[in-house]
Amino acid sequence: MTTLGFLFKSMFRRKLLVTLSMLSLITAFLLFVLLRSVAVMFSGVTADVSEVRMQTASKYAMILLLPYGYGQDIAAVEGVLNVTHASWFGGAFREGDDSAMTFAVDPLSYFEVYDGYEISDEHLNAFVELRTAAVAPESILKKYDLEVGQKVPVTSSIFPTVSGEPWTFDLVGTYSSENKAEEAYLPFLFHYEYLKEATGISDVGWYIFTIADPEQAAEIAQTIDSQYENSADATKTMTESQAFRNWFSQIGDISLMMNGIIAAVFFTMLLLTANTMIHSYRQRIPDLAVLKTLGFSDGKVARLMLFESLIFSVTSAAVGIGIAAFALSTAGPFLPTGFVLSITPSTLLWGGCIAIGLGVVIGLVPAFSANRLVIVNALHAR
Amino acid sequence: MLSQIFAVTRMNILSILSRWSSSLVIVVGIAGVVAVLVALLSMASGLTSVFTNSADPFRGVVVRGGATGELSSNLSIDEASIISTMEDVELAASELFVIADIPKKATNTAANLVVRGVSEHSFTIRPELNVIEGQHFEPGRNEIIVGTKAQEEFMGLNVGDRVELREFTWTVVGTFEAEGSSVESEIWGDLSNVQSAFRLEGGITSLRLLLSSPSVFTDLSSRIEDDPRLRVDLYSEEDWFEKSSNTNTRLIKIFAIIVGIIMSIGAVFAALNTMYTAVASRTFEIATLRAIGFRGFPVVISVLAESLLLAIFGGCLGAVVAFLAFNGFTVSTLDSASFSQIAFDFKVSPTLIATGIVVSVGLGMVGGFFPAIRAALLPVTSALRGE
Repeated sequence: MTTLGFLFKSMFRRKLLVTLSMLSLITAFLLFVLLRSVAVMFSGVTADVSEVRMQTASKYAMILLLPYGYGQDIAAVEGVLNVTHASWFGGAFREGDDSAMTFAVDPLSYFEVYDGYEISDEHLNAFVELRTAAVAPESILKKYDLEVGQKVPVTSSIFPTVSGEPWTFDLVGTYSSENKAEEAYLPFLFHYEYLKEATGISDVGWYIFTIADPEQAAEIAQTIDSQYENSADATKTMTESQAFRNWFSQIGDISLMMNGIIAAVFFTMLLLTANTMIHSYRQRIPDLAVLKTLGFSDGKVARLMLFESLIFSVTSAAVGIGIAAFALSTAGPFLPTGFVLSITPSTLLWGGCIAIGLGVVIGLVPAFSANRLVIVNALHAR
Repeated sequence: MLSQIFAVTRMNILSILSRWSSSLVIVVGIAGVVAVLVALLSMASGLTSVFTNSADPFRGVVVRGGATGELSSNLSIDEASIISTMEDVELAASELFVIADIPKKATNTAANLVVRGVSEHSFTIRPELNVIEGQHFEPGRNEIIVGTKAQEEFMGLNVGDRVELREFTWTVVGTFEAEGSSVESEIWGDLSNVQSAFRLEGGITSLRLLLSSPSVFTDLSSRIEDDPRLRVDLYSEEDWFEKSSNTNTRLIKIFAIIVGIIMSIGAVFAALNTMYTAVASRTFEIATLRAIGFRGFPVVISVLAESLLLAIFGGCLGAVVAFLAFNGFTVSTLDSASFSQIAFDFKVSPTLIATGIVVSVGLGMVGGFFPAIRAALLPVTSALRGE
């Protein structure tokens, strides 16, 4: 019999106990990964944010609009490459829904600035040419059951139509992002010109632009903001990553809470499992005595015990993480807009380290006692 | 039979102490489940109560037709005056809801805070609002009063401090509380001053109404709808708050339930494990009892009783931990409807504690049931021989 085979045999000698312990450990790891993914989302780590993309918005509040002319001023600043703008439309696809990510944009320059977005030439052309056209990512198509080619009714809380009827857009294409994690954050896009014509607004929500050198970001922000400092529409310019950090720091305490809960939950469960397993090994001391009688050295027996507990904890962790991965990928489409739950490498690393640490802790007690075992006494205890 | 049940159960429970370390697994495991469940649910109920606590059936809110929050609403002065002179409207207060960036204490980064420009009647309509420190602002002056929650969470909002809000510098002259409702996370100033500071002369985002009686609501609502000059929606305060709190609380509740279920599953496995071990370690004892004439049923009851006792103990412990650690704990987060910070207290209510204990009873039942059956079905002779 191979060592591994022997380990499994001896591990499952107490089937019920090991199975139940494994199951509770699997749940612990499952929970760990799920909670971590929520915490990671709240901390904003999953979003793909660029250091060479910056945005200029109103200094006072994100919801205030900026004059259209700012776009040209920004483009004239040295180091700025492409400039585009977007306006929050606050559109909802279904009556009574929360507003989804719906932006009024300038199609060509928008896809130039967001160069990580992928759209076919055919779809882009269709988008540019038709005034009432719109494009949406697959995630929105799937969530609201839309198809390319159809007319999409959208109600906006910010820009209601005079008649009170929903707006209608012609959905002419889809787009996606190089970064798959970003998929759930992609907005529904339509022509700013159309919005302007229909509502008479002449301002835009915010400007987005790319810069040649990320080192210059602070300087460029300073140049732009100082131009408008004393005007009625003062601005705040920052890199996209700063903006994301700001945004998520507003969610703030909740993510702190999440981390607290994770720690509490996980350590309770680890403690429980470790306790149970240590008990069960104590009852196996006579078995170890048999092994030693058969000629196994002290070290070999100790190593066997350690190995066994490591296999136990690592297998459980792997199964738990696997179930979590499956659950997250299944739940993805049902989450509200802007919610992205994913397993990051750091979660995996943490999970792995904890599993190994746990295995060692559980295995140490029996390994240690195996080492000091006096065969006669131990066999007698049987 | 009864005396058998009593005798076996008593023996069982008295022996728990000698097996305390494995019994602890059940207690701690279930305490953990209950503590986390109660904490998460108390977070959801705290957030809900911010919105629903102060809802008064005599009060209504008017916003632009189709607006999902005050932020996306605006009313004309004409609309406001038409509504305020309607029959059944006792008082009407025009208010302007705007947002300012102010640094939060916890993170030292700017976060959105609601600034509400209010008129005289705003205070009459909300009698629950009390200035607890300093005084009311004087109309026409750049003075503000600050809600207790806003003062707690944001920097530089103590009485006497000077704050820049858009065009003007304002002096904080007072602090107010409002029975824990969401306005405690707001800054209040004189309507016309807020309008000019934010360059929104004449701007009104909502109208608060005091109705002559809650029963006139439906009638008033339909009169407003039928008036061709008005394109507004009237909400009862309760419906308005309900609409505002919707998404966040629903998410937190769903989250609490999912975490609770998964944790419960884990705890049930741990409890099963412990109880099976408990039964196994007493195989000889149970077999002896059976041999001298005790029936299976009392054995089942005794094992179940033990597991229930431990579970309830764990449940109470968890509820107490959640209460001590979280009751009254204040957190603030971004409210998706108003796009601004809202602070709320966790509320560990008796109902939530009861829920937690009910859950622990359920877990104890499941954890004890199968091991109890096994104990009752022990083959007496082989168990006595120690096989």
